[in-house]
Amino acid sequence: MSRRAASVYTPFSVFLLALLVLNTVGVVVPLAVALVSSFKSTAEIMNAPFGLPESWSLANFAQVLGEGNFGIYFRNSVLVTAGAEVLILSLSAMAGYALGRYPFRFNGALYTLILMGLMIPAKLLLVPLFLQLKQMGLLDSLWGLILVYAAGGIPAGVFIMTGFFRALPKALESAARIDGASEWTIFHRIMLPLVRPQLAIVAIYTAIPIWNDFLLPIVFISSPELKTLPQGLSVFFGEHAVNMGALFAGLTVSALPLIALYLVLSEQFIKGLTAGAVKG
Amino acid sequence: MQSLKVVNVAKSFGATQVLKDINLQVAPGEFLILVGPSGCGKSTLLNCLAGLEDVSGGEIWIGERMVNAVSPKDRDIAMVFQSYALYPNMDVRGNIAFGMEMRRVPKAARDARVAEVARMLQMEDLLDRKPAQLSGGQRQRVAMGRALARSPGLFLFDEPLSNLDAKLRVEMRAEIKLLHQRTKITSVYVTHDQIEAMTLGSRIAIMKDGVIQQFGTPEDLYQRPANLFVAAFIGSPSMNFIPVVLRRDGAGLGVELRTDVGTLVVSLPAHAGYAAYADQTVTLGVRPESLLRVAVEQPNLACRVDLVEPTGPDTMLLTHINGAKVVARVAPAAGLVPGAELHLAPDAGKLLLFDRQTGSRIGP
Repeated sequence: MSRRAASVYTPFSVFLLALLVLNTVGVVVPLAVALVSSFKSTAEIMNAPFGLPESWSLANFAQVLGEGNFGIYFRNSVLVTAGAEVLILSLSAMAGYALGRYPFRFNGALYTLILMGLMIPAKLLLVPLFLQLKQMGLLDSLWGLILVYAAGGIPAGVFIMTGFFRALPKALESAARIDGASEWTIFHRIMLPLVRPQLAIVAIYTAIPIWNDFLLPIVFISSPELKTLPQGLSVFFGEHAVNMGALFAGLTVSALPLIALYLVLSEQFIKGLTAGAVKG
Repeated sequence: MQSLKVVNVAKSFGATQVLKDINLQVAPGEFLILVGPSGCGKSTLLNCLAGLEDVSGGEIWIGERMVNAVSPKDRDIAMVFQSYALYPNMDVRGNIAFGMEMRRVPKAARDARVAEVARMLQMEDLLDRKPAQLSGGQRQRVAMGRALARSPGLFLFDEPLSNLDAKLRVEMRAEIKLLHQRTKITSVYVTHDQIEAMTLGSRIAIMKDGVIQQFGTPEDLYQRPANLFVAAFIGSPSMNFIPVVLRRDGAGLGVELRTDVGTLVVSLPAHAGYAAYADQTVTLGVRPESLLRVAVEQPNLACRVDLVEPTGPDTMLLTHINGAKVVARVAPAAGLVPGAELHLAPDAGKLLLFDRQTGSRIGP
């Protein structure tokens, strides 16, 4: 026992642990500061940035939620993120399945073409996108945002899904085909359930940047009733003063849906659904 | 129950020809084995029968139908895969019922059939489990149940036992055979294991390099192998191959066997095919159990024992004849030790001759 216990703490493992602790602190502290600050007044934040609030006041939250448009911003963010995710998940699953499992003539070329989307930052395309959306009449519309975000997320989704679909055993497909299943049935009844953990990865990976994005809404959306949450929170940046307390409260509230999404989907990672598909 | 006919079937992947001019005919209720070393094309042939691969040439008939252009689901077949290929997200019940569900069999009829199959395979208690919760043998059973559920006209097995451990394999082998005796469903079974082939098959097609070497009953293959490959593949321990010269021996022909300690001339039964090989070197094939221990007074070949391998019921003796390693399967007895002298005589009626160039069997 003692030998075993000693071998766990080698200098290298201690170093690794220290690194992990450092990383955790680096991630948790800013979040904790934001959370704690959301209960403080702006003056308090300025005087003692890291101190605990004198009283745990909910005034900031009241102000944020009372601010007339917060609910609308929140709803818009949910609509845009959910709409884009529906498109990303369904299209990358289907495209990934076709690219990963059907040999056809331009399979490789098509795959490369889609992956090229990963290499072009959306910011570079701001002007052409603006012109295109304007032409399509989708400027200042949630649909415009949804389409642009979906297009941005699909390359990563296809990349992830193609790899996983390719790795699924061929015999499953053959068995289903002999059982009389159509291609669509094989896809959605047999294969898709096996890549649910990977779909969760795609969902989290693509949803976070969409939910937090500030740039595209600020460029494409001008009507107040169509603004998204990050854009809406900017009202607390005054020309001369920043309402820090309200800003932190707003950030805290806006982070909640993503945390919830992560908690729901992280269970999928743990489920080893493919276990027992073939010889185990 | 369907018949199966394979006519001149060929299959190429790009420039590689994996099946060459395959011809098979199987009567309803038969159990056909496709056996051969890995890469011989047996699984490809099975996939062609299933419709999972298209043939490059020839015809496949299931019953009275030419099925070349028929999709797998309409071929009236069911298949058991080496990897079982159970649907991991469905429970056992769902797995067995899936094929019927796809064919729009009403729920009540599906449930009844699932219960029937589960009873037949003694797995009623497994119906609500997921494949991940089953052992290898249980998965195998479910895979068979799924195939059985639809009462197919033709049953295809792709090395269904090779993922099981040795003991379970023997058990499941017997179960498959019992099941076939009960259901009489025409079956095609791919394996690389010659014992599985011999024990299960009513007829065996033995393949090498995409060509059927011999197609016959297990007895045919064992007693009258078409060539050296078949002779060596079927039987364990393998047939002994001894280079011999065919000499005139009175009116007929005989072969001379020689060891360090003795010689024996064995006359061969008369056969017209032998004459052409007179005074030439051929390969003599003799099964280990056809080398008999005889009393020293009888004509015999004295041999020196090189190695003794007791297996329990039999003992394998290794020795040399005409410079070739030879195994004799004899009854266990005292005094069988390395270096001992042994008196052997081949069972003249069971000797086989093979052409050294072509490998084909000469004679009856």
